[in-house]
Amino acid sequence: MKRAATTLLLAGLLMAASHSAAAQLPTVGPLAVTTAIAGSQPVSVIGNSTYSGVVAFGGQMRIVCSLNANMPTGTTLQVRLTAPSGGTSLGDVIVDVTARNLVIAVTPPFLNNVTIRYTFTPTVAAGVLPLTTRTAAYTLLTYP
Amino acid sequence: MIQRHARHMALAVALSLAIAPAAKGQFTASQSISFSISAINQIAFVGSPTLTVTTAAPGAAPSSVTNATATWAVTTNQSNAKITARIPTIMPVGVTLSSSLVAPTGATSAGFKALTTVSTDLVTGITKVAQGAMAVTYRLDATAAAGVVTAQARIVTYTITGGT
Repeated sequence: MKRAATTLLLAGLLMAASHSAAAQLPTVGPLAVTTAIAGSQPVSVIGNSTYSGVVAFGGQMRIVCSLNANMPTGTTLQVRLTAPSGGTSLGDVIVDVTARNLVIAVTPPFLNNVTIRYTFTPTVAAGVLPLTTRTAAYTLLTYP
Repeated sequence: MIQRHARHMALAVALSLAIAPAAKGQFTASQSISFSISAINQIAFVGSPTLTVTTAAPGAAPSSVTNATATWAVTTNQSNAKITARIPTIMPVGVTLSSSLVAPTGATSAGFKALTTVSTDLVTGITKVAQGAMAVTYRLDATAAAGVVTAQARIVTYTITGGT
């Protein structure tokens, strides 16, 4: 009985740890802007990633995203999260250091198969930019 | 009795942890995105104008003709880029072909410049701009010494030289 209780306690601690998971996704890029049509702004570049996981929760959540630093002047980064079911994607959202809603009314199936699309868009005002990195942080929050 | 109560408490805690839903902020993920921008210098010219000298005022050289139907466009993400132009073979004796480009915002046009086989600056100081539909004006000048010149063509080569 004592051993069974200890085993259950350890299992519970392991479950609690999984509810505080911090997933580290592989790096996307480089998203290299190299050309433009004469008379128009430089051509945007798109990069894609995916996420698949099992997160148990009741009710609905929302997914927000923020960057570790704002994008360089004259550039924007948009993020779009989509999945076959389980939430409402807000489409391409321009992200910065402020947490922005990307998906609302999220239920557990959404996180089973997520497609993450990044769109890097510069203007000529950005000039020439050496390889630069930003880290996007995604958080699951209650909704509404 | 106390030991049994402690075991029951442990069991209750374990069960509550096992079925607890993900609370606010407990699930996070992060991803690094790398990006870069290369030097970009692009120009485009549209149009194939025709210029014909047909008349003169008595006592004066033949009248020049101009054509402003062509246009050009530029995109550069650098500073102080410039546009030069040249033609592959010289014009007939006594005949001059000149080109003038409207400058994009912030840049400077050199106005009409005679075109030769040597590149000449037409627009300078082009900085971080994307602009199109700017007029290209060609002018044909002829002296009486040129005589009658049968129809000819010249291909003007425009070049953008990037800045910094």
